Amino acid sequence: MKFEDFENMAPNERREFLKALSLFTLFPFAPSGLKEACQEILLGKKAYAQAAVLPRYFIEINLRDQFDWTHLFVPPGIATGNITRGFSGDQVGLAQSQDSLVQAGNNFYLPDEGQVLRPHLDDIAVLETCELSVGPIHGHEGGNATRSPGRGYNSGPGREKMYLKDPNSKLSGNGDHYSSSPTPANIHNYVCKKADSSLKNGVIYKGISRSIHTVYHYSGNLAGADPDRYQSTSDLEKAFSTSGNAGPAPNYSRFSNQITQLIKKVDKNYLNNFRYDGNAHSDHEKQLQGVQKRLASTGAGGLPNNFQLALSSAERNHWRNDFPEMGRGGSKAWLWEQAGLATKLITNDIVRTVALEFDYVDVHGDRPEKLFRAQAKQVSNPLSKMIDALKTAGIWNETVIAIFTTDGGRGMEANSFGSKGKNGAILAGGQIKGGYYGNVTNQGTKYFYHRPDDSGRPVANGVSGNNQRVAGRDLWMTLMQALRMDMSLARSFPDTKDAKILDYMLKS
Amino acid sequence: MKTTPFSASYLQINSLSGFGRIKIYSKFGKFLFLGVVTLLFYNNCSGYKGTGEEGSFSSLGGGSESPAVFEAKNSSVQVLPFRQRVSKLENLFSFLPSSAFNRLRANRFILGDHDHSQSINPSQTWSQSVMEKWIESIEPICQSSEIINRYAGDHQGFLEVVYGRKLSYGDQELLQEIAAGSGTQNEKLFILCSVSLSSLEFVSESSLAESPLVAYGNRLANMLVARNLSSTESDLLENGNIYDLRQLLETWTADPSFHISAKTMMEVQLATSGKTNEVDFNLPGQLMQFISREDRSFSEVLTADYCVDENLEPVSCDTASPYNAGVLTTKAFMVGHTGRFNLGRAGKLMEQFACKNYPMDQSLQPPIKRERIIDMFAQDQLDDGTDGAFGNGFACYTCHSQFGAHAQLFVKFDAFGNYVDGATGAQNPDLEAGKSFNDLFTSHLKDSNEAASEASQVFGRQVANLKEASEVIVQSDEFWNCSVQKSLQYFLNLDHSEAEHINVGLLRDIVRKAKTRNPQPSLSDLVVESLSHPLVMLSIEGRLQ
Repeated sequence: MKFEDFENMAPNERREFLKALSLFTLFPFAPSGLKEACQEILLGKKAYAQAAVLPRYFIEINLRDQFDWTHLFVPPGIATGNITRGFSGDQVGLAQSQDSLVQAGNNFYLPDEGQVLRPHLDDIAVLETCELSVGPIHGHEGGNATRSPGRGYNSGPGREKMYLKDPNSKLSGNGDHYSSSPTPANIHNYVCKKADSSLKNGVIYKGISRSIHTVYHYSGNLAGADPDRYQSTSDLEKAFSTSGNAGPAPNYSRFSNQITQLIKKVDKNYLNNFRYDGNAHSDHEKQLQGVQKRLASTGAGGLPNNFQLALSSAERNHWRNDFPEMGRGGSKAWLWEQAGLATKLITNDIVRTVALEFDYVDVHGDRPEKLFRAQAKQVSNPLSKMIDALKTAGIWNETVIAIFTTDGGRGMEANSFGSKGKNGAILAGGQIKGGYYGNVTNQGTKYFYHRPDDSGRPVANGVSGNNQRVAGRDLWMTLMQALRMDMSLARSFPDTKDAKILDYMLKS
Repeated sequence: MKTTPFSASYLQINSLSGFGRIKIYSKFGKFLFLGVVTLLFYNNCSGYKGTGEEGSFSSLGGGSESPAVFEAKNSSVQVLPFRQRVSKLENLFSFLPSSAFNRLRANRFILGDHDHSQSINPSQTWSQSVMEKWIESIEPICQSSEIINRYAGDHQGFLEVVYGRKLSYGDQELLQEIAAGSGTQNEKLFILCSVSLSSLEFVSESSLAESPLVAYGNRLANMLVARNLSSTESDLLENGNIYDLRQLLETWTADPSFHISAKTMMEVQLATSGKTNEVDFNLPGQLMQFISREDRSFSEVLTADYCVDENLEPVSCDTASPYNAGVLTTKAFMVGHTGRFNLGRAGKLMEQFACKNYPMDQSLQPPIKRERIIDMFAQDQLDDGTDGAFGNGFACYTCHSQFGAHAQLFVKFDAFGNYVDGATGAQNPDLEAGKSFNDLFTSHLKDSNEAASEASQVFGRQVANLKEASEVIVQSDEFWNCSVQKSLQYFLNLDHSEAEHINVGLLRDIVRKAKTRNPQPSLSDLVVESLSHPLVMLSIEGRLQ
């Protein structure tokens, strides 16, 4: 194949082809000459020293209002310990008796709400003993160390405000944090676009229902890393629909190259005049390159013919089925709808990066049974359907889903106020090694959190505070590895360079 | 991010010698501007320089010899609020039919507009998707016959109108490059139009005008009245001084566009806008617009005994409460900040109108005694007897002893914003903590009579209800300082953190000046005194460079 042939491929075909080539280059016994030829096509006319392999597909789900997964995965120590169950005070918020929990292997003890995930447990890793959140009010924050290692209140060289691109009406519920480490979807989007410049930009669905809260999606110093943010379902659907694209090319499309080149020149003068640094320049230029490509697209604009992102009636019924529409998160879109849209984007290979946001409503003090059950099912129900769909599409081994309790978690106590007890994530994907890692034990109504050791087994001595936790950077780096990212880039940030990879969460 | 050879460090100047650094970086005109502003400042402030009294020079925090001003720096490319951007286009091309702007309106949320009734926050990010959609959306403008008829033979005139300043060498280069390219005259105009209207200079508030005073004036004109300086205004500032700027500010703050900007400011800051079948979330913004138009005291945002409809006519408010308290007694505020224990309402009241978060200084808000507070908030210690730090869930009393006093004012307003005279403030045992009966919320107070009563204590004074509380708040220094802070934040396009770090001495000085001008300052008074204050100009000019 000549490079020109590749260039002439439709974007979808090109991506399919690139995907196949990427996988081939990973095959250990592939002849090196052939590998180089593949890389030449992958990378352009001249192969670079480092292969630009596409990362896996990535769906990042951010849950706010300190979601609790007690009714999804019961920590082994709680499932088997001498506990007091109930929904007030220091009781464990577990409605079911311990003997009714299903022991599903790999330290999974499943209440009713977790059952739907049983077929997929080999590919689901749960870690809830990461370092705690540090938001100014009950730990609520828009960042989290697991998503942006080293984030905190101090600015400094390379440490910029995380919150500027994700507006909210009250900073105190999110934390006026600074960081140098990009959040997962942003670095993933960056690496994907670097590996294949024909890719569409990733997507962030700004799904948090309350104006006071948000989730930070932060690019650090990675130019052009920001995925596109959408604040409503209709805008997202409009952006990924082929309808209305027919007819003669509009003027902005015909002149897209001149327009964006001239804007680049004019804006360069502006940025120079106001002394923006090199990163702001390169970020703006990257964004403009993307603009040019998108304006130049006519007709289907890189989308499959007649593609409609909007869920059909049958699709809506499927995704909505058995999802508890409780809490406040549905004022924009329930997580079932967001999950349906994200899955459709990924399984149709429209984008490789999707980040979602969903909240419940902030409940402190005694939490009722229905809250525990709803929060668990609001995760397990869409997650199981996403996994089913990704398996059906044949891309499960090429996908990672990360679900973060973005503003921290709660303790085992029903009456828990946040920024204590748990903080962590669920990783799911064909390359994820399933298991509940770490543990929670109790002595009466005191609870102790045991991080996993290097082998993945819980350490003997648990803690009630924030010491002896899994560093957020370690989970972040593990996710990078699972996503098949450029690890030299992943280690290039001051707060990630010393991170460990939690091998026990990954299949070899 | 913007590198700031002296903007950030400049803002921390602690000695007059720091001004020497400006020479290194500034063009002569800018230096002259700064010098004039500085002299004006010293002239204005010499009467109370170094006295150490409240509002005095030294109380601004910069030591005894020079002012410390607030930090205002660009940390990423942010553009004008969506409505300012569109209004700017509408003002610029007022000869176009309204339909030319329809595509902008259709794409408004991707372009950054807000509608809090749909949980859509405003965004001023200039990202790939926003730029793309903006260029698409201005196409009807750029290829309209009206634009072609007017400017096909006058590209230079078009560009001057767009930027509202004299053209620079770089602008001439742009015109030459387009002229030398292929395409018809109309196509070239289309390209010029698309480029200039999508350039950062047009979509942001910062101007590349040579004169710092013109650049500063242009920035203010963009934010206050959604347009560039007119040529007359530009000439006035080019050859004028700070007093000419004040004159322009007086004119602008009487302009209908300013009242719309005031409305948007309140919408954005109070997070209330849009409409549902049940709630008109536009009421607070409309009240602000009316108060601004009528040049009434800014305190009426909290004390007005009326609401205002979309035609800016006074109407009764919608909560059915027996009293009114400005924006507070609207369903928009009540529903927009609803939540258990009325914490959201109390928190927003303090954050928006006193710029205070919990815990606040007890000399401002004396705490409710521990024995009067329900058990869950009376706790302040860990099980092992050590004090719990705030934020980890144990230091409840520290915050809630103050929270509770403010939350009590809302005890008779249900989740839908309706006033319920029979509210008890009692916890419903069947619901989660903080929820009372009939969609009402639980009081912080133990005693059932106290829990059912709206009476409380605000800033150390007993009040019978939210109306009296509002009257206490607007008499406080905190309210006026905060009003200046919030208007500076909006009209100078500062982020939360920048605004929160504005020196309180500066705020006090502005309030003092506004009250000298008018004992009951209007928004116009606050804005004129704020934006013409030498230290504010110095801060922003630091950023401009």
